Amino acid sequence: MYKRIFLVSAGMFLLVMQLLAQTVTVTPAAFKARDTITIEVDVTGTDVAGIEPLYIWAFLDAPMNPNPQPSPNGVTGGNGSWTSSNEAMRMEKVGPNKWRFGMRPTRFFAELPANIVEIGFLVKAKDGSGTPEKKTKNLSIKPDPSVFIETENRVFPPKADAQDVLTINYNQAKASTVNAGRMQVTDVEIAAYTENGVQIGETKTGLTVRQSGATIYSYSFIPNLLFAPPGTTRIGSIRYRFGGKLPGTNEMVYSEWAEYQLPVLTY
Amino acid sequence: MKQILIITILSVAAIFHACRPDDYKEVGTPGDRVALLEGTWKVTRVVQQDVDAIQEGFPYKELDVTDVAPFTSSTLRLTLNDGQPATFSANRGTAPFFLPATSGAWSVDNVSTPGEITLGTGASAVTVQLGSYVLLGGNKMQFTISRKQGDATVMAYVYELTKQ
Repeated sequence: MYKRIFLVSAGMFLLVMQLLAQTVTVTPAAFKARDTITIEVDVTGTDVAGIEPLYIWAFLDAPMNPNPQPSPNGVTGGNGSWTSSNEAMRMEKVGPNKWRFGMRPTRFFAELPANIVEIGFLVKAKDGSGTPEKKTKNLSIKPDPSVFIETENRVFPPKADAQDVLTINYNQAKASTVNAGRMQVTDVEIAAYTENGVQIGETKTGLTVRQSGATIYSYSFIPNLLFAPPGTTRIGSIRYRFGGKLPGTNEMVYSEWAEYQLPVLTY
Repeated sequence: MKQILIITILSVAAIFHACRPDDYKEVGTPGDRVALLEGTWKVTRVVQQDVDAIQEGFPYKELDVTDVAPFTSSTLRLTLNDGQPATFSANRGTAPFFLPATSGAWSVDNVSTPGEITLGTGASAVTVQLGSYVLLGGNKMQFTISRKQGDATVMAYVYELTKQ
């Protein structure tokens, strides 16, 4: 009787340990292939538990690579060999049986974001050979798919400095108000602000837009030329709204204000 | 019957006798692309590219911004010394910006097949990616200059220039 209880308990313990094993945590939890991420693996209960140091062995899973191959092509030496991992793949120990590794998937695999659908990997000893092999089972993480969403306001390019050409676009098909959806878009108003939110000069009004698509209106400008900020004042952001008259009236109506933060770019 | 056989054999022999390997023509001397770069170049077109959109396969990848500002007033002069890159001078004219380096020495990453041109030296140096060699043959040049956020290229300007 006691023997049976012991066996059942031991079995449940092993089951729980197995479930706890190989926990994978990615920071940030939601990420894109272009983001820098940290992968943390708890190898408790695996064939590499207690072994130090440990190495990541990475590959791209299907559909990018139907036959998973070691392919961190962005790292000199890649994964290395099964009996001698590349030192560049060495993981950092962050606790008992807990190891982590940082990467930017697009650089790590030297692939375009669209080709990185799923990142496969396992954790191994430097020499993974033996019986059983000194490795975890295959693990994987998935970046969020890259999806473009058409919006009411769009800035091109999404990242431009105050000295660069900036084009603000208004897609009337995505108008958020009834009037904005009905107006005959003719112009745009733009205001510039410092990084502390102080307005630079006056709001520029009556800037004539061009129609760049069936329902899209655009205005291109160089923030530093349009607003000529004094001295070393840097334009940190702009606010803009598109305007036009309602058909058959002289009433000017506008879209909602949109805001854009200008990053600092270098050559 | 025997005549037919003889005629067939003779025909086949004649056909094979006529087959001779063509002589390979001379490849010729490789084009001196660095020499093609020498001269004064005037900007004729500027296209802005969203590098993220290109890599992600999104729409709105690039936009012709030539008319946004007087970009076509900019010129670039490249000189050679004994067939090798020597000095450059970049004049932005009335354009709001052109190249961050204005004068100095210039170099290429590979004299035979230049892919990058570095204008200037030290901290003020800027490297641009050279476009198609076919354009150079027609006295046109295209280069791309990247804009970075941190160490990531996020945007680029593609300049098209015509030799004066």
